[in-house]
Amino acid sequence: MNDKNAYMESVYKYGRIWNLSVMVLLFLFPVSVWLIFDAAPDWHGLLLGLLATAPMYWAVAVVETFTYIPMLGAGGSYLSFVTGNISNLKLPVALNALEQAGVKVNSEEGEVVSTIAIAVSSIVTTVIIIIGVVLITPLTPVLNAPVLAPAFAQIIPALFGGLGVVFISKNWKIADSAHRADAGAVHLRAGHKRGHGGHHGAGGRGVHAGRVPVHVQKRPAGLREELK
Amino acid sequence: MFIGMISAFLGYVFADFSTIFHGDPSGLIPVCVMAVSALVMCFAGLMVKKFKWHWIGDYALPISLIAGMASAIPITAWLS
Repeated sequence: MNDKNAYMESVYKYGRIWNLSVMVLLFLFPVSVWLIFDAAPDWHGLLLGLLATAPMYWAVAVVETFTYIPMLGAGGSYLSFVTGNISNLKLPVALNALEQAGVKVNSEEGEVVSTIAIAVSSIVTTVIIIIGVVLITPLTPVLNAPVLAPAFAQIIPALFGGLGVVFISKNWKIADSAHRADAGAVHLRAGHKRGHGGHHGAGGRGVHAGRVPVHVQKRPAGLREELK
Repeated sequence: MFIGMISAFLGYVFADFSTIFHGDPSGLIPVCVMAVSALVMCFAGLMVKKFKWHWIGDYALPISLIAGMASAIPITAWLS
């Protein structure tokens, strides 16, 4: 077994162990409250509540798994799913670190860089949370100030503005082709009976933007007849 | 990864955009905040290119994030 496989095997092994351990720890809190305060849940109400809300989180879990893991790498994903705050913290941290290092996440270097970035972010977050817990009393009036509420409500758009510029400037050909293909599709849906289907995205040909081929869906035969 | 990132974030930013068609401009707040943040990032990129201040590159993301969040305060007061 070579070094890379050994490393990845250890990532999978410890990732599973820690994820399952954290799951047990999370369940231990309500169980502890139940046992210490003799406050058993209303099982019927709990079941009804779970039936109403849990399926939504199953869908979110599946979508997040398939969306985030290709962007975070294996080690980064295990760490992120344990520590949370993926979309607003771990994902930007990992993407920025990969960007600074000039590596791709699916490379060996990218896997290591992403994992280290998310680990450092988790440690920093934990330290800041500890400081916040210690300073919670003097900080509460500042953080709860109504004047700051709009700023905290707009963290994701503020984050994406900066990140978006970096990534669109690096991948502007993909962004431009996707925009044109989308505009062509909108043009077609809007009922323009032009043979070229609006912009050059909807004609069934691959639109080659530099070295990146962007293939656009072909028109169905019925639609082609309607357009004639 | 690029398409995944765009998908992950843009839905959140444009989720309430349709409210402007019902006379409520508050759906524009995240869009404006994103634009301010993007402008600050562009400005930082220009500084790096024009004056060779490469150290700005390390701080461009937090600066644009804080500038975007700060801009949310007047933008929210204006649009809501």
